[in-house]
Amino acid sequence: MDLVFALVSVAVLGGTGSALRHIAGFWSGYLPWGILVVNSVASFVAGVAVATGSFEIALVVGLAGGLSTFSTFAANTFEFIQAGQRVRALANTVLNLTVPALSLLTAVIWL
Amino acid sequence: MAAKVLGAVFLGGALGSIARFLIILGVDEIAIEDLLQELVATSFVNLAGAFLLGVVHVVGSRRSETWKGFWGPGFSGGFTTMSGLALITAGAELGMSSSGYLYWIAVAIQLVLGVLSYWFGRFFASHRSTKAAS
Repeated sequence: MDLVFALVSVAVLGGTGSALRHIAGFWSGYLPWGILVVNSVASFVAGVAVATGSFEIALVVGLAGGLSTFSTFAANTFEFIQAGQRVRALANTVLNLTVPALSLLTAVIWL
Repeated sequence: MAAKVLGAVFLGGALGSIARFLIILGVDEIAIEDLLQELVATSFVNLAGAFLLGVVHVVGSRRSETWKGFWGPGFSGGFTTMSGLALITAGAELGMSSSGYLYWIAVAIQLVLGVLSYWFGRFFASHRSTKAAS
């Protein structure tokens, strides 16, 4: 029964996170800011869930996992490289490596 | 934005998240330290998901917006995770492993491999399309 509840909560929150990410993905400029923001917010949510120990599977695997994305990061970075925009590709990679990690650390240290 | 496309993204995201969860549960059975389990699981889902998105971006040019929404930002997006990678690097910073810096390197390599995996997905789908057409 616990597994069924976990699967349903992961599905509902993962789907909701994905829909929110899709909307945020339209915010783009020099870099795909919307994707960087959702990746960072998702990591913050994961940090809160881990620090408080509440609803870890639903929030970490479901909401944070659905809200954040690796595949879109890969696609965006590939497009920058293909267009010869190496600085943008590097900036996108470095920011997606560090900002989500710092967001998660902020949540854990803050709580 | 069409509600139908958003619904397809929701459904694909829900299924992608469930698939990722089941893989995490499977990797949890391997007797290695927690951070390494997380690294194995995220490597698998992220590289496979990036490959899938590469295929979707090529094949999707002949498909509906709903189909693209389901498989692109939906399934591929929900299946992959960046917050999972943040959990690994933050965990390494917080001393969850004696070889913390190696996890940063492993995650950085995964980001680079993800781009290559996406490119390979595109290459694979384009090659298949060309063969089918001829």
